[in-house]
Amino acid sequence: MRPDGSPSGFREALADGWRQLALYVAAGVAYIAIGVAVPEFMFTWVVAAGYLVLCVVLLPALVRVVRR
Amino acid sequence: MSWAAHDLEPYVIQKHMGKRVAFVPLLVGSYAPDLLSKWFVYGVTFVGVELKADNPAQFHRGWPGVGFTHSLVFGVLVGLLLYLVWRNKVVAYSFVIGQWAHALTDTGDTVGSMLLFPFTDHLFAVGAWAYAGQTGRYVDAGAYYSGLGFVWDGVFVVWALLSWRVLTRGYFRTTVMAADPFWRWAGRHLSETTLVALYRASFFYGVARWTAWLIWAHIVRSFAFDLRWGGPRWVPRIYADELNSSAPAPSCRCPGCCSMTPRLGFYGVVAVCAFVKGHSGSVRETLQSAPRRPRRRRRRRLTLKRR
Repeated sequence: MRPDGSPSGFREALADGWRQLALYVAAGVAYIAIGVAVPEFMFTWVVAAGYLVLCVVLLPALVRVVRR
Repeated sequence: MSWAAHDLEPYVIQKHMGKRVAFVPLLVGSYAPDLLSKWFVYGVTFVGVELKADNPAQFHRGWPGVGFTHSLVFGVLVGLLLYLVWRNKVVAYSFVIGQWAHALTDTGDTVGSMLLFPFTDHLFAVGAWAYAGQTGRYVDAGAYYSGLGFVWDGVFVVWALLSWRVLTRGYFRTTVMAADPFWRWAGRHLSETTLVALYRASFFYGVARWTAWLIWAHIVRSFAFDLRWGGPRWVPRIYADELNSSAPAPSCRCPGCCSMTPRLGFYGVVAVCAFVKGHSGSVRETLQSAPRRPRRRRRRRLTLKRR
């Protein structure tokens, strides 16, 4: 760990959060696919931020609740 | 105008400045010049009525118009206003840095920005890619992602990816939250996972839409690449000397003016390369001092295999 709180290397970062990275990459790929099909989807930052929160926070939380 | 660069610049600045900068004002500053004007440049249809500026480029970058939002003084004034409200120097100058980054980045197109307004309404423009905001959002996107604009954005995509450490949760907790009062306030209402997602949202938006617009422009719509200076030439572009009635003649010799020849741009690139090379000396020394792979052993192994 470095003084600024970031991991010292990429491997260390991956070991800690590879699942989260996979989630973000999947959300990004889906966003690109939707954006290419419907460019209006990419017009505003608010839609992108809402979409990201939905994909990486709300949906995983919902899945956890359903699994219980 | 730049598209993804304004989303990604704050992360690059964050990487270099660490706790000396507050991320949210930096990001707001980076978006501020276009925050309330871009929709009117491209136009929107509301209850069957189209709202659009008569002269989008003049409205966006000129005076009369809202071009003053792209001046350096505008950033300082809003920064002072923020300081009066919050009494926090870091918040104030973070906004100024973000707004200046936006204003300077927008000098890259053929219209440029009135950097020194209100002292002069001269538009400082490097003229590397075409300004085509008046053609509407789709053609503008196609033009931007076919000229040097997408290369400029690409530089920031790579630079932001190289700054990946600022996106980690540990960095957010230790550095970003410590310097920015917004996150501490938001942390009372939202979980840390949500805060981190919101912090990463602009990075996500910048990288994803850079990729998506490139695919859309060249695979879905087949716009032609034209990486010449001031291109693409197939789009009707606007130049700085077409705006601001009191603007100087096209023969303006200002070093930042769009009337400058590509040669000056070339000299600029050479200067940047020389600067980078000067800094890379330390990198080279580090590489030379690093232990090298033992090549002799590998050769011996190969010769043994042959035998």
